[in-house]
Amino acid sequence: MPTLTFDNVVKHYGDTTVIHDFNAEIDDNEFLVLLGPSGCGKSTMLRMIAGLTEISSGELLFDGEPVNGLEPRERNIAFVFQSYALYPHMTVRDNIAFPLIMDRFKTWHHIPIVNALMRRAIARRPEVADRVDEVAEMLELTDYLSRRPKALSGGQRQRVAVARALVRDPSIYLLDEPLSNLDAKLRAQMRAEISALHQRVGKTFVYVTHDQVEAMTMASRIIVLNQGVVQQIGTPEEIYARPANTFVAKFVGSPPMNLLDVTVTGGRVRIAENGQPLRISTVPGDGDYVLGLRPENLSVPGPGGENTIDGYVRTVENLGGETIIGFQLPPPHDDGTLTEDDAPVRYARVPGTVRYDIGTAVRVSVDTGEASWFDAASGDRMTLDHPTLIGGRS
Amino acid sequence: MTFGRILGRAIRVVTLAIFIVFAGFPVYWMLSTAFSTDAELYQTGQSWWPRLDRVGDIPGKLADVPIASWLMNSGVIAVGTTLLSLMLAVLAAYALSRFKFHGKGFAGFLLFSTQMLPEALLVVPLFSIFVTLGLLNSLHGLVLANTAFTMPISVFIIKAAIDRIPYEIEESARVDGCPRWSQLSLIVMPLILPSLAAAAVINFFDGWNEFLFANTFIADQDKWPASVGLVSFIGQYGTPLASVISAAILFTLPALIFFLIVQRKIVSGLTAGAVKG
Repeated sequence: MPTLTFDNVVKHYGDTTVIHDFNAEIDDNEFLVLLGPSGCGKSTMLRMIAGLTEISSGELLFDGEPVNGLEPRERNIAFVFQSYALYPHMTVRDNIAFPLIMDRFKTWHHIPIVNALMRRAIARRPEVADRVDEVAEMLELTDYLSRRPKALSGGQRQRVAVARALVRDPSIYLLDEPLSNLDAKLRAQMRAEISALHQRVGKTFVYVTHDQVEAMTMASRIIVLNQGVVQQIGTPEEIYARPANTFVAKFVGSPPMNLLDVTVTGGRVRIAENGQPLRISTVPGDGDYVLGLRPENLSVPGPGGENTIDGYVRTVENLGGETIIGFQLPPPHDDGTLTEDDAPVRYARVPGTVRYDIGTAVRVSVDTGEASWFDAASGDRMTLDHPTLIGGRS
Repeated sequence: MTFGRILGRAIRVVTLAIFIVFAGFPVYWMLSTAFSTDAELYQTGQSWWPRLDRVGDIPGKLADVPIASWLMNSGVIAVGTTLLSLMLAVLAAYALSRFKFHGKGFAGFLLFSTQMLPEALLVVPLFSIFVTLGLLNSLHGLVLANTAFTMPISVFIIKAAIDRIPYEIEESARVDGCPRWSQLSLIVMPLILPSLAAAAVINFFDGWNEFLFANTFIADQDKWPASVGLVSFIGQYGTPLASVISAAILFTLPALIFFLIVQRKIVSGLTAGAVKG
């Protein structure tokens, strides 16, 4: 089972660079998720690992050996496509057996007509048929082995695609948004099944998704990509709690991290939007910053007193166990009117029992202990030393 | 059932019946003519009903001509044209559909341009080429000439079918260890069977109906295809119509059987379920 190393990997399409100097290492048995918005280059990365897309420059190494020039079949990988890419004219059994059959093909078996005959002959061999039965049983596909893909549901097709990847026992599993075509319930079920599969087979999984829930729940490590540039590499906990920049802060988390433009003067913090003060432990030097607060660090109604900000409720999403309150800050000179509709909405995660009407004035309590600081110009995270309580409501 | 629906249904049935009569009457009349005698055809008038009791007379009417040999020659040309044309067309269509290369658009235009010129215009240049290559008076020469004209049509039919196959299916095969050649034969070709069948029908009929080149390039009577053989019935002083039509029926039957076999394959929806739609 190889360690994957990306050494300054770059991908161009004509004049457009879709992957910029990608450097990363994927350890053995890791469940690595490539996370990013559509068009960020994550699928291209996966295809380059598979050998389906050529690397423009840089090196991809498996256990220190460059594999740039190797064909996909020489890399000992399996690929689960977003669209499943099953062979529609073959039964489920033939679909699952196909990689095993190809492994056993000799050069002359590829002669047209001979290949069709040999495919049938090899599929009947006990070592192939038994392995297919074993994998089908593992994925609960035994009853569907004689069906064609068109006679299967989306979830069953997805299982066949996974079974086809599993059957050859590859070193690396590459999965390209395999759950995106499933409904929400089935997706949650398959998330758990793929995680369990990773535990069972103990191989390296590289999983591409734009869905942060999939990334957070399945990954042992996440690489966040945006416009072909690595934004952050870390465990789900690190990425959630300590986002490397404002992009990661906004992309990971639902609802996203609240980002407030603030000004620090003499250790006192004020929200740039309306001048409201905030008491925050450990602040950087004087200047403009972006302050990041997760929705769970805001509570409504606030207990009052220190470190609260005023707002008006704009959205209320009751999710059963919890409610997401979206609020806007009042304008600089609070005259009792609502802020403009296009003013940014901030979110607080509160218990499901809390009820508010749209437009209600609320006092939001801020727990600044988990606050993140970002440079206003670059958006990069700033590391501050031990927290001390300074400043206060003026 | 309301009067309106009955009327609507009646109109549909009558309209269909008229179309069937228009389409089927020539075939019916051909049968009736084949079972008539020359005397009936030229003097007393033929029967409205085919005299099926005279089916045994047909071999006698065709005893003087090598009809079996002519049909065999037509078969060689038709099958040869179909196989060669499809083989070349599949490769060309796959290349045009799946590969990027310089001059791809021009290659497509070149293929298309072969359809711009009428075959008759090319008889003389082709004759000259055939003389040079020693292909005159040979059936394989006719196969080559027909393939040159039918292959481009097949390329466009097959390319359109390959274009509709999601390329992930081939990529998946590639990951599974299937080289390009087997991707084409094991994955792509089974998925484009309906289009292959449609192209096969066009190629087969073009080869089966071959007349112009055969009439020009084939000198030996025993190498004539049936189309040229049929024309040879027309004499300076008379034409044995009943014999001509009897031969024409024999000429039609193999083509009809081929079509009936192949048309079963012309079904759509084979790629359904391959990828999530």
